Amino acid sequence: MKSLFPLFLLLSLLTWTACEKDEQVLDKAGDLENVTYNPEAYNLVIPDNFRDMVIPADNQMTIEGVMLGRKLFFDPILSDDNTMACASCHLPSSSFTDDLAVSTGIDGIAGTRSSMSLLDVGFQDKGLFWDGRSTTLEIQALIPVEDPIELHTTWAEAISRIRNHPDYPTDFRKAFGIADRKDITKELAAKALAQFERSLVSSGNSRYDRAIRGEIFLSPSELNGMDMFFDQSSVLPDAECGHCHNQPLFTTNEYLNNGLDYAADLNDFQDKGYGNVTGKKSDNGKFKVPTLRNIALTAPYMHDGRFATLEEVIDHYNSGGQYAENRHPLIVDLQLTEVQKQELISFLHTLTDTTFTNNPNYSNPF
Amino acid sequence: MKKITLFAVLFAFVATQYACKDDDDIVPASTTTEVALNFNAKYGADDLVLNSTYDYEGSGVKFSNLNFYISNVVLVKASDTDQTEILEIALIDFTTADGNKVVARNVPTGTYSGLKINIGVPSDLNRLPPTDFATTHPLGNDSQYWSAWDSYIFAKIEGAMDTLNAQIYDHGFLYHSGTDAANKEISINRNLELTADATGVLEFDFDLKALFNMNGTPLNIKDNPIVHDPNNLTITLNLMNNFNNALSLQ
Repeated sequence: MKSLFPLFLLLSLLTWTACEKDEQVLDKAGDLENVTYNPEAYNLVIPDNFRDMVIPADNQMTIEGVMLGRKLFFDPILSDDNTMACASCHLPSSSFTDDLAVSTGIDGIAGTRSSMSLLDVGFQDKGLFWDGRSTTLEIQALIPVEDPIELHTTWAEAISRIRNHPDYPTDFRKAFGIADRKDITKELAAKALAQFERSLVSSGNSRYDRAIRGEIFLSPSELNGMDMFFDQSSVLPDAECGHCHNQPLFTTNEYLNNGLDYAADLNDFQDKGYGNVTGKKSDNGKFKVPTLRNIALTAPYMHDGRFATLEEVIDHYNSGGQYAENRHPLIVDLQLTEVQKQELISFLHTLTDTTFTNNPNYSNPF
Repeated sequence: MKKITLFAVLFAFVATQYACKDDDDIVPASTTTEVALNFNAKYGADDLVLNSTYDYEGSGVKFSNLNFYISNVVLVKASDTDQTEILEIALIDFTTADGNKVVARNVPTGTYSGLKINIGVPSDLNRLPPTDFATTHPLGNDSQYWSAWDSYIFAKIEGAMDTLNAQIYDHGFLYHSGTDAANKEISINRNLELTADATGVLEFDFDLKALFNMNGTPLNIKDNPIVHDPNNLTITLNLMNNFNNALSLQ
């Protein structure tokens, strides 16, 4: 036993030295300065009929920034038990939703809202989340990490892990030019995530997009659906869709009450949605109008995922919805026939953009 | 020779500096000013507060959304041909704080005899979709454009009516106006003296009750709750014409 003592001493010494060396690296100012900082502007490709995206002056997109954001988006390092990432609730194959009615965090606690599609999220100029509580992607990206029903950790813990990661400090240097790993902050992590999210833009290759460019013809059923959607026919009924789901984004980014729940008084809404953010009673029960691009890939539907299929969604709108005094005036009894409802659904399928969902630049980089 | 050259350069530099300073010191009398255009929503004699209850022909009514475009705002001098455009376009939006106010800048000072305002979007701008404009521009708002018309929505009036007098506002209504034909120019005669030392302020009253007057008879909201049909502009044009009576300068 005595003969083992020198070995133990040696191991202890080695361990201590190793620890000290790590601390020295962490403490050393400018430990990343030998890494080249030469970011290259990211070429954001936007369909011709979209407007230019508004990008904050202090977070211009770079190839390095987008790549870092993509890694962070798919890395469970941002969750307390390293089991979930942003991508756990925003799957590329489902247009960055999660196929669930409401999302569940690392502790198995179900939330109250359905995961929102991130397709064209960089064009959302009237707030983010179903209730608009974040004004920018940079602010939004900070929230799920510490939300107890999402990733449920602290930014202090997440940043500590990132600073001690073998690759991330270099990635942050390349993206943001920081001098040493101590300069890595949650704000920079959020900026990187926002850059990646802004890169999630429609390809412009859906059947709808190709049809309006004259490259293909839609079927008679799809055309009828489009005419009703946009009220373009003097023969077919107006399905009143296009007012709030206006092209090219198929959303106006507004917050409206689409008649999901009965409320004799506007304070009766269980989930007050936008009203919780604005503090106005008249906004209770209002939620964000989501994009309908890729809508066939993002079931279940509505802010709480109450409708499993597009058929259920169309039935809801055809019924005129539930009473509340702030129900939008265009939520009315449409009296569409079964054929007309199917034609509307046929048109909605033309908005499917698999070039987007299969884009390798949006996939898990690990 | 070198000394002479150096002296000449130095002299020229100093002279230039003084010349610039002199220019800066000379401040020409300003010939422009700002004009604030404030629109106050009214319902008859009352101030209009969105989502509050008003009486409409014996039924309770609540207005939830109210906006309209003003464009080609010009000041007119005594001779009607002498007109100065002070504002190209703005969205007057009563749903947002200060959305009912707009400021025209660089307005020439002087004496004017009145102003003209177009309610709507001029046809040249109406041809351009919202995606051609930044989201901060009055025409950059996707929700103010109606694809079926290929037109901006010039005016939006939305709300709900309690048709049974049961405190149940279940009869939603929506009046959206658009298309080139719906543009409405309004002329207001008023002597205006604009000076450089003060911002001009024009306070307008916009009476929504007057807007619903259909040739002497109040619009039947119950029977015509949704109006956004480009193929049937009767009510739309009537509403737009009524801006002439609904809009007044205090």
